[in-house]
Amino acid sequence: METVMLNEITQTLSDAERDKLFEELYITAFPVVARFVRKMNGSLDDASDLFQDALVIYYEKSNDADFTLYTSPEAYILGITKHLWMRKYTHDHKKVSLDMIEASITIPNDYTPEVDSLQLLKLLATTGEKCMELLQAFYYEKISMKLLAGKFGFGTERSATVQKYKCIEKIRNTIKEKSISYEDFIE
Amino acid sequence: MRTSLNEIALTEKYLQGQLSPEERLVFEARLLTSPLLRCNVSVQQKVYTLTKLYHRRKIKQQALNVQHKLFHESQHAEWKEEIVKLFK
Repeated sequence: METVMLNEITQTLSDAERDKLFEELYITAFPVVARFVRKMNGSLDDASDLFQDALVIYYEKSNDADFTLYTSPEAYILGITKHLWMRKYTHDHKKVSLDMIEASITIPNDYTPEVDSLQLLKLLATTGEKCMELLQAFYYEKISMKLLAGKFGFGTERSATVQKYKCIEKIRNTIKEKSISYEDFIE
Repeated sequence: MRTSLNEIALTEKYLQGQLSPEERLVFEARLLTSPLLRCNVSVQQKVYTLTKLYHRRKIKQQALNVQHKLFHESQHAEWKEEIVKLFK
């Protein structure tokens, strides 16, 4: 019941709906992506890893109100994979051929995080997990404060809002402590 | 709310471009004179960036789980075989 409600309100997909979307795309698009990766002499692990990244990027783009898909989802996902391949294996001399639509695809600039972000993320996934869950649910799953209050067990919307800011403060302080050892991170 | 939390709420509005022109001017004037505020704003931006990465990682994990599931379901055995044999 809860997932249906969430979806009505937020217009992003619930976990179950996202599972279904990913399953469909795996069945139709993964074989095509796997053939491409094989052709480039990649392994099944490479294919899986790149395909999962491509799904994340495709999902993110499809949530963007300005996004228009000019081709099939399968072709688009193959296009994303080609870009990811080029980005990951620039040393590879085999040229990746892109058609016009594929050439127009862009990968978010921040998709490949910097090393300090990865280190912080690793730390936060353990010490700040509850806060990270809350913040990602609010900012990126776009769950309303009211539902967030229910999901995370806060009595009221108001206390969920306060908790959100407390979480930002907590994570901010963790980053500050850690950034003493990465002096270059504050530009 | 505590002062520090109000400051965070205000910073959020600033970063999301939700302050009125007057509020924005006042905030930016404070930024010029307060190194601490400058640091906090910069780190708060980093909190949002990390939240995005955390979210992406969660979605990627979900995709990985879907693959595991499909690879173990008998009705998709043929589909799986087609993929696996490419790499043999």
